[in-house]
Amino acid sequence: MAKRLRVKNLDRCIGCLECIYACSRVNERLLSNYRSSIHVTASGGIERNYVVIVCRGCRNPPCVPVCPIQGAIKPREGGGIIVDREICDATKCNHECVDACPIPGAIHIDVDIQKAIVCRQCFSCVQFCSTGVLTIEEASGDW
Amino acid sequence: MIHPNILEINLNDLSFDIYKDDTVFEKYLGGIGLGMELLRKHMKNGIDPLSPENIIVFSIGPLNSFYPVASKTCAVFKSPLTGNLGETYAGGRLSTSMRFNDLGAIILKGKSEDPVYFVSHENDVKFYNALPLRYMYPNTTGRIIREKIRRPGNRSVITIGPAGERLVPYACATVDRTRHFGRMGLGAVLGSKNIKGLAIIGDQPISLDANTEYTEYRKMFREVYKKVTETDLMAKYHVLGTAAGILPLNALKSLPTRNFKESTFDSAEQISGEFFAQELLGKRVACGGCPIGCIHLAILRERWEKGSVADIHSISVPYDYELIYALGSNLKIGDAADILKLIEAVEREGMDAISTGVVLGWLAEAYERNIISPRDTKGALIRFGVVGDFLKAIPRISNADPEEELYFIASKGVEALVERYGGNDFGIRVGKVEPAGYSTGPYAIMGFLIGGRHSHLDNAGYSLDQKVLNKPISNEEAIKRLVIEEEWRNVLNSLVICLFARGVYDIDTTVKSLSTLKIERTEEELTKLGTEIQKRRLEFKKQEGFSLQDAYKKLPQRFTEMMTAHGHVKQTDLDEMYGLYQKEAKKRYEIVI
Repeated sequence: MAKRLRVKNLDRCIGCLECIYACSRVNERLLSNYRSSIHVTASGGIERNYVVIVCRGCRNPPCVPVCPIQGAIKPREGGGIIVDREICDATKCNHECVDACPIPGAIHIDVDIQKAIVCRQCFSCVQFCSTGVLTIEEASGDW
Repeated sequence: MIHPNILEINLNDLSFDIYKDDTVFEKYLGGIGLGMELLRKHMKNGIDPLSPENIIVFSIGPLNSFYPVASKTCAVFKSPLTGNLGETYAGGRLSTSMRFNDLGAIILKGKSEDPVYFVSHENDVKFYNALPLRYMYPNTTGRIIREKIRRPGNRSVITIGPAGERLVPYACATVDRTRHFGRMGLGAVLGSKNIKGLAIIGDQPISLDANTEYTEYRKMFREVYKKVTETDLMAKYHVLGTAAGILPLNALKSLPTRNFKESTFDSAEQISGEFFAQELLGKRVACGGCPIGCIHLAILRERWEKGSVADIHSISVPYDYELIYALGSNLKIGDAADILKLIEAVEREGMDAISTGVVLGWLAEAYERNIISPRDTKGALIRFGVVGDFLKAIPRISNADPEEELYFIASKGVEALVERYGGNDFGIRVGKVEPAGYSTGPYAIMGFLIGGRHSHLDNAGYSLDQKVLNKPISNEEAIKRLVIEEEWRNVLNSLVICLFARGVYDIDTTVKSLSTLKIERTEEELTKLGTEIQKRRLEFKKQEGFSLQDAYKKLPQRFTEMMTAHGHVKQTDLDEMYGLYQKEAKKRYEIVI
């Protein structure tokens, strides 16, 4: 069965940002804290918990049917989506995918390249999560 | 690697300039190497540290954000505590914010007419009136600045507290709530320039194709990351944090207690890293780009009044080994929650916790010996082991009111107290700096003395003391090892890695890591750079009036009276090592200091 990323132990996040850097290093060939498909923010100051924001890898993703540009977003086998960067063009739509996703920040439009940035389930971030917040799971369950 | 920009701010007219200077980055890499060069270039000799002529340089280095645990930012300035080299490092998100704002260095010059804080983002610097924030706690100020910025993402906020505004020469600068440019009075220099805070926002992407040998870089990153997370090179830092040192040092008779009079503390168990983790630890967090997470935050529950049942609040307090020693064992405070109260009190004023603890230790001993009287303390008691006495004294010291002479002098540090009241034999300071918590033996003392910033981190004499416990070395060998260690640390402090990862970044790893960033340096070139930086640090100190001989003469007798892991340190050994070092300094750096 296909695998997908899961934020399993959110409470263990120490805010080191290595998942963000891994994502941008591998997928964007960048060192960036912004052009990444995964984000970590503090929820109410450093003494409260961190929040990890990333695509949940739905098997029936609400972002797919709303995209007005044919072929820009395709469902991925086992959950989640694949954005075709050749076709996706955020200047030619109203960012419907961002609106349709119920998780704010899981998809964002990068203003520099005008493309939807979203997890493609490559799991690079998992390899650089030292506290076991991120894991890879079998895509099962009713979402 | 494409070198980052330099941001130069002239506070006299609140103007700024952002420019390139590739030559300095090529020659000095970054961090302390770059800082020393910019200090030389921009600061006049012999100026008053609290005058507008002083400058502050914040600098990062080539490894910051590119590699794990390269998470520190270096700050240099003329220190109001020592009157010579001010050098201090902080973690948090500062280095990543500078990296993603494409800034390799920030230079602050002049003095703002009114109190200000400023925000640097991309090609802009915005100044805000900070008069309404006067005497606010550092962390209240930080929250206000973060709310003003109102944007998520990578940002870092540096603030000062009331002590910095009142120019206490060991006032610190607080970074991102839990980290500090703790030592040597950066807070006072910021205060003298009328800067209450500054924020750096960084969100620019950096091309790995342009800055790295991409494939090799990814391979090397993985290798370093594995060393950091999968070997035991750094294990102690993420489990108990630096507080792990309390029990082993206590067992070695090396935990300064009661103003360094004793070297073991009968309540060590109750203030140990193990105890804190078990009873008080609330959570662990990390600096940006460091998978270790050594920042330990304890939960302190405080009742509004004695006997309150439900009238209670809890606050989050960061703790570390040095704070537990300075405000715990050194003051004979054997209750972990009481230590947290003292840390929080120091945190609110924005003072260096080590200096404050050692100043309080001197006050308690002077009070006990009737060197200072209740008339001096304005009726207050200052007793070892009584947390309430110290909690009352801390804000009075920070207040630096000349009308309260004792507290005013205490706000200037131990050296000033000794000059005014005497008590040199128990006035614990080296080169005017209150030392970190290691009564490990002769090499810790020599290390403090000859270190560029009189810190245990300069050359790790405390570590050498422990390494050679069972295999003694000659004084000559010890001096040689301290000198070589300090020179290599100058290289690490130019990258700028956290020294907790010094075991990971050996020479080979450093050469290879730099190479993947298209910075080709041989082992020999790096060691030569370390020597050159040391020469510059010493030249700066000498130029600003530092005399090693004076500092040596003023070492308190207590250093030879206290017990250490090596037994009592012999004066003859210190004398011999002092002479050997002077010879070595003349040979290596062509300097008589």
